[in-house]
Amino acid sequence: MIAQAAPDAGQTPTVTLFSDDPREFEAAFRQVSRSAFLLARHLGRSPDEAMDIVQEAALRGWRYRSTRSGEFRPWFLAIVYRLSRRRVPEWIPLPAGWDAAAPNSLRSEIDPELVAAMRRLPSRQRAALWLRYCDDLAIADVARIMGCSENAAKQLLLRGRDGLRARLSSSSQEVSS
Amino acid sequence: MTRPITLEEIDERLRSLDETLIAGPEDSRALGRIMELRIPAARTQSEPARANRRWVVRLGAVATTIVVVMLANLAAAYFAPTYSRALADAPGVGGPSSKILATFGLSAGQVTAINDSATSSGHTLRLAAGYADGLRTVLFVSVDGKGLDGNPKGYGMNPGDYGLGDFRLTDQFGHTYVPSGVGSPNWIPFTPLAWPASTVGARLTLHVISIDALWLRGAGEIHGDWTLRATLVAEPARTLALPAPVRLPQATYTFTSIRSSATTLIVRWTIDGPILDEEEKLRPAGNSTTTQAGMQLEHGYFWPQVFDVFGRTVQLADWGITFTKPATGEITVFIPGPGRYRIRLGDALTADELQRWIVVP
Repeated sequence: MIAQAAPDAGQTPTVTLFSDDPREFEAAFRQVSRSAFLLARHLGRSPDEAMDIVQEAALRGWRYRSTRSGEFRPWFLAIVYRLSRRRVPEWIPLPAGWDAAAPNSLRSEIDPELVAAMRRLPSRQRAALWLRYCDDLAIADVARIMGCSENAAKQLLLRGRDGLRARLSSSSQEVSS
Repeated sequence: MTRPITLEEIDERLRSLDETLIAGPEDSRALGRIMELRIPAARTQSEPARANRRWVVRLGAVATTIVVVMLANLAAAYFAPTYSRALADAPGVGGPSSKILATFGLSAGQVTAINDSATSSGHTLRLAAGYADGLRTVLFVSVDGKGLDGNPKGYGMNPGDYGLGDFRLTDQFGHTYVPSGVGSPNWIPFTPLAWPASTVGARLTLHVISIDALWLRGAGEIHGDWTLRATLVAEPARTLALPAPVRLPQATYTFTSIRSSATTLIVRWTIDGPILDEEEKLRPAGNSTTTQAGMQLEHGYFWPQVFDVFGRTVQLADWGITFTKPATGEITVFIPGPGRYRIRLGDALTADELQRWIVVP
């Protein structure tokens, strides 16, 4: 096993790991599995489908582990993202521009307004916001996971935040003199 | 009056969303299944040599009597913590967050604050809290003040995030406890307290001989010598009466064991009948994905759930089916307390006569 640390100036060092030890792969997978599951859910997959996607991603990831470069987390989430965006055979043909519905079983007692506003965003914007803000990933990683340029990822984030701003009210009160 | 929200406020609310997100029952079940399938093998060590303790007392007759009485009291207090009931139930400073406790179906009022710490090799381990009942023992350990708060999902990814490596947990009678169930490198469920500690209370010793730099994923083991101690008293587990079997043309479900504690319920059963042949035909070979028909069959006849008296799914700890003939099933759930609970052994078994009610006293 070889571990390489490649610190960038002013940034958290990134660690690249090449290993054929299934236990290490499994440990890394466990750390990212919840995020992977919630990413699939935000892309409109049901709990069962999301579970299958994460497990399939783990098998694929292990099979093609030698192709990985960089951090495990964005690399694995990219597999999950691709599998989640894969078209599912449907009995009824879906209309052009159809977008997967947001998960309605995920809720927040602290900020239900935000969850409701997130549900009304397109799935790609939801996924971008989730990866950037909830998973604390860099824009470059968001772009890599979603298979787009950094500029496109920034656009998705900008539109997502604009969409939220249009639907949310400020929780702080304006003080009138 | 309210003012328009700023992008900075949106960013802040988005960043805290994951902390407060609550998954529904189906999501929890799916997540539990994912985690269950990825449990690393528990680390165990050889059984430790039982400690020998001898006291040599050479005093006069009166003094001897006094000393004997004192020692008897001390010994009773040491070997039977319930004798002194020396529990530190005061709110612990820097104890595990409610989110971490919730993953074990626990609340702050149910765990015992411990706060014993040890430093070695430049790192400080703190045994912050513990919990024990007749079905499990759980310990919460921080390393250098980290691991029990903040975002538990992200722990382990950043430099400075350490978890326990090799360790051994023993009680005052020399019994060794091994990790058991779903946990993390810092919050570790162990096997339940063994007799006699289960009866008189346990003085536990957690001896850690290495910690892992989690963000290096196996490449950063640090050896040291940390000894942490805790006193835990376990509420006993109960064995409940078994409900009648559930009979279908294609399957018979027979309950074999139901045990409960104040926070945990474990149900075991067997499944026999033609449904097992059907399942065997649909089971995928190798690593191929389960077919739609296979998934439907599994959901319908092999996916158990436990509901409370209001029809809400109770929190799943783990479950599994072993497809032998007959097949055996086991589910562990975290219950909020005594009461009536409904067991459904498959999504297709929704008819009232196919579900069973139990009472947890």
